[in-house]
Amino acid sequence: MRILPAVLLSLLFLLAACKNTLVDPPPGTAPGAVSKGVYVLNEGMFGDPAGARLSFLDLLTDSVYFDLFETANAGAHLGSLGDDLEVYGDRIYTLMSGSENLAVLDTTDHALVQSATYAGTVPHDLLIDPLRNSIYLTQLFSGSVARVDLTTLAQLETIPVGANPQGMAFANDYLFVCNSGFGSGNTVTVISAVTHATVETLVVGDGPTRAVVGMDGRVWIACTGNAFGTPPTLGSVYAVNPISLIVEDVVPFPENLWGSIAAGTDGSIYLLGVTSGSFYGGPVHRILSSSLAIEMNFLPGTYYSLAADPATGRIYAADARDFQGDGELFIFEQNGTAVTVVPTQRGPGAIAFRY
Amino acid sequence: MYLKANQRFTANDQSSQVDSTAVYQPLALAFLSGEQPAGSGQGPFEFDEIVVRGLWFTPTLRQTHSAVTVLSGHELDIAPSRVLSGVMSGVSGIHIKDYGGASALKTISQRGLGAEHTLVLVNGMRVNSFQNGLVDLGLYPVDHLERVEVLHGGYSAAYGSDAMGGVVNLVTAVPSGVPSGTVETSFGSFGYQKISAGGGAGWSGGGVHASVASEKGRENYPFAFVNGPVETGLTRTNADFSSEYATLGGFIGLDKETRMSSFIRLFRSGRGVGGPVLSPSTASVARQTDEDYLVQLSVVSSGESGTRLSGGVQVHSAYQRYQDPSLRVGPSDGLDTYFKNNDYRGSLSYTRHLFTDLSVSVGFEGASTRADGLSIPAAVTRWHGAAFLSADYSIPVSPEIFRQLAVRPAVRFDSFTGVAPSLNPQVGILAGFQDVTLGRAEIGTRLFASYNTNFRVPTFNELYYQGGGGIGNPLLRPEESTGFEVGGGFSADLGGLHEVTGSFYRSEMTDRIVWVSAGSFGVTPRNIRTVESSGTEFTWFWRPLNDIVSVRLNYSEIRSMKTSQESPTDRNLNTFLVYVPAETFNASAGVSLPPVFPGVERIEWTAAYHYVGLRYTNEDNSGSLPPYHLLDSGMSVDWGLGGPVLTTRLDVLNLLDAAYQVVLGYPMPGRSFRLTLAMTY
Repeated sequence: MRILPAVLLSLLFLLAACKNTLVDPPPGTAPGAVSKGVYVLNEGMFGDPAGARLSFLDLLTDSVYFDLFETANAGAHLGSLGDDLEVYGDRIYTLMSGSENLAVLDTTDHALVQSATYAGTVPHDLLIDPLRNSIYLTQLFSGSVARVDLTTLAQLETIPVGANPQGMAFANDYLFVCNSGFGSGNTVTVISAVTHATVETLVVGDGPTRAVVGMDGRVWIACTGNAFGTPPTLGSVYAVNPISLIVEDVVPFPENLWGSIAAGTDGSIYLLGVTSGSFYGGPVHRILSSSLAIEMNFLPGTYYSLAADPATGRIYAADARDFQGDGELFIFEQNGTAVTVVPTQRGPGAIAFRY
Repeated sequence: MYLKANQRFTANDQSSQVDSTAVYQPLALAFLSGEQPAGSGQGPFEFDEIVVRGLWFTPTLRQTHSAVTVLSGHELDIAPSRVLSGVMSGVSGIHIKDYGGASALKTISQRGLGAEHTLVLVNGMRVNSFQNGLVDLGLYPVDHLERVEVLHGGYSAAYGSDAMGGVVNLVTAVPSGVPSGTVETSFGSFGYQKISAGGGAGWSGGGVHASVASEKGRENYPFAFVNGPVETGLTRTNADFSSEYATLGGFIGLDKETRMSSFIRLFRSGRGVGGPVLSPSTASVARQTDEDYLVQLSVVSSGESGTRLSGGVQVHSAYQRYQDPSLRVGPSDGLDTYFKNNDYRGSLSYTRHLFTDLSVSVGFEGASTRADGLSIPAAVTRWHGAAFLSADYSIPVSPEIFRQLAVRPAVRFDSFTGVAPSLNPQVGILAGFQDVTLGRAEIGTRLFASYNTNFRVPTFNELYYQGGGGIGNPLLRPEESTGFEVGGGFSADLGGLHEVTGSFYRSEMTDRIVWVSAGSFGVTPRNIRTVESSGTEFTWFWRPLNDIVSVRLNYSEIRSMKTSQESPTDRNLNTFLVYVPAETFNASAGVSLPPVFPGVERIEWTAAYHYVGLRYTNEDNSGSLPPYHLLDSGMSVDWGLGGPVLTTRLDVLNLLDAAYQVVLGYPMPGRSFRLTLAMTY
């Protein structure tokens, strides 16, 4: 039964692709200074010192640019294992966990304007608090979060959290840190962005990995479940009120989740599931936040990362294709209608939008 | 002291008379391999007479039906690199995957296949890890080796599992039976230090030798981290090592036809694991401990007309512990894992000449291997039994044309608990032609061909692993391969002795085990890959000034490709396997001067050049490492002190100070020096 939707989806993409011809810019070129579009930070192969690559889908020209950093910086590379990125103002903040560095690029030409290395910390996810001039970096094997000065990139302090912290979300002046434990953890640490102190430790499902603020203002946390636990546990999603810091809703899933989560402009919450036999993600499931009804396999496929455009509501789901080569970025309307598919580089792990 | 190239030992002279004639004597093989030197009692033998334990024929360099390489004790002695990996990197068709300096992991790839597809033997008995299939060549110093024998191609019909790309047999040195003693010390670059001592004694019909050694180094070599136009000078960290090892070997003649020999090796090391260098600030804190204990006992009885009965037992215990306090997952304080394998095995073989032209061998092998550790849920014991049958038949042919025409069929059956059994045949043909005279040169030519099937039994990790991120698959089948090889060679005495061999090979491996996604954040091994390997190998050995100068060249070209599509979305079909060089070229030259200066007994100089071609670093072949060139050289002088001999030796590795990587992210050391002083009685 799953084959038929996939076949139909492919046909829809074929038709959609015919409507929007993808321009293939020559290698070594870059988008214009006023382009708007979608950045993809591609992880690269584990152990490759130069594996992290930045690509860009220019929505104005329907072009995809590869190796943006190399093109703008005389062939230098971002680093190893690009894991997270965020666009703020005219800057792109890219975080590489393998080479443990944060590289800040100018959005006009993607030249490196600033960089810092946080040796021995394995920084994995980042979140910018512009109001307090801070960047927060989860330190994957240290059980802590680092607060970094947004201007100088100097590390200011380290805040202890739970084991193997990954994704974060920011709401009501609180930082919500998901302590995944790679499945064995079950807490979310709540840190005050004003005092930088821990104010609460929420107990959620096994493997809290990523969090997002929904249109309802609540913090939605994707818990993968623990496939290796005794007994194994399945995935779940928790909705937390950022004012009361109380878990208000729990949505259990009938299978494990991948951990990626995104918020739609129509109030939907999108999650990545796990495709049986794959180590690189799964289909997109959807939760209707009004009713908490689950729509399994809302977008069939095996997607490695997920994002929703807060401006248009479009869903961006990237397929890593088992890391055996370049990946693909699938674009859907909010109702699941396919728009197009564009190439990415190896391991499309993080997506951010530029307006 | 061990028997080396400057001594001659008469084959059947158990009183161990010695004189200083520079002729090599492969006695180690005579009683550790179960083979009597051909024509025993006829005196010493030339360097190219080799015997490999367990083979049903006598594979001299001129009598093999496939490519064979022998590194003699003398070559091991004078090689600039004093480690097995460095010596073997110059062998045709072999690529050493080296992860750094002296402390780093070093594994062998033969004919484009993986490390688990080369069977490594010590005195004819297997030492491949049953946990992961690998042999870390860095744990095998060459000090106590008499020779290294390399069979190229599949030989599961003789040796069973893992002999798919080839076989490497490390033959330990034989006690000379002469009272002896050696003390040696070395100093070198990056904090290298070594001290060793050994001594031997002999009696009528027997001898014993023991040695101990301690070795360490900081391995803090400089290297450049290159990121586009920016080059940052760095120093390798957490790559230090220290190791201690001891050996004890002996033999005793039980009667004039029967000898018993034994070998014991105890090895222990601790080392840092530097890991890949991903940035100028990369710092690893991982550590690894290895303990390896090996005990062998063998008995060989040779009767009339080439009848031979040989048997041996071996106990091999391997322990490895890996610690990385920075890898804290969940509530753990860091990664701390270990495995331990205890292997007990025995073999028995009987060879008999049924007729003048036909000899038949039959044999059995049995083993019990136990695996224990944190990566498998419970201790596992695997039993293994094997039977093999082989023949060597010389076809009566016209003696005017053929010197020899031999057909060599063999078959072996292996059964392992928990895994499907495997039956593997092999047939080889050798045609040796009578020497022809061209001018003043006598030229002997030969052609050979072989067909073989081979297999590799899944390792304990592949079957039973249950650690972070993965799970074993107890339903795995053995990997299988089918291959053939054709080749030929000639020998000529023209301005010195020339030996030239060339061969073409092709093999297809099916059911190759690959770790793939298992869903739920894990990987699991499956029999899903097909690999086709083909290539050519060419070797040339020349001794232009009898025993004074030697030159060796070899070239190999390898195409090893993935020819299976492992999922509907797998686009990497007919792509080259990673880290297999497209071609390699090695050249070495050695000069050994007899006593020409007062007080100097010998001067030796050697140089070795290595070229390794391009290697792909990922499965879609979009990334690669460039070719590299290396030059090593060494010189030693033996000073006679009126009895004892003082040896001074200087070795220079990577003389050209090449900056290169064998594996992406693992910088290799630049130019390095080593000075050795040894006193031998």
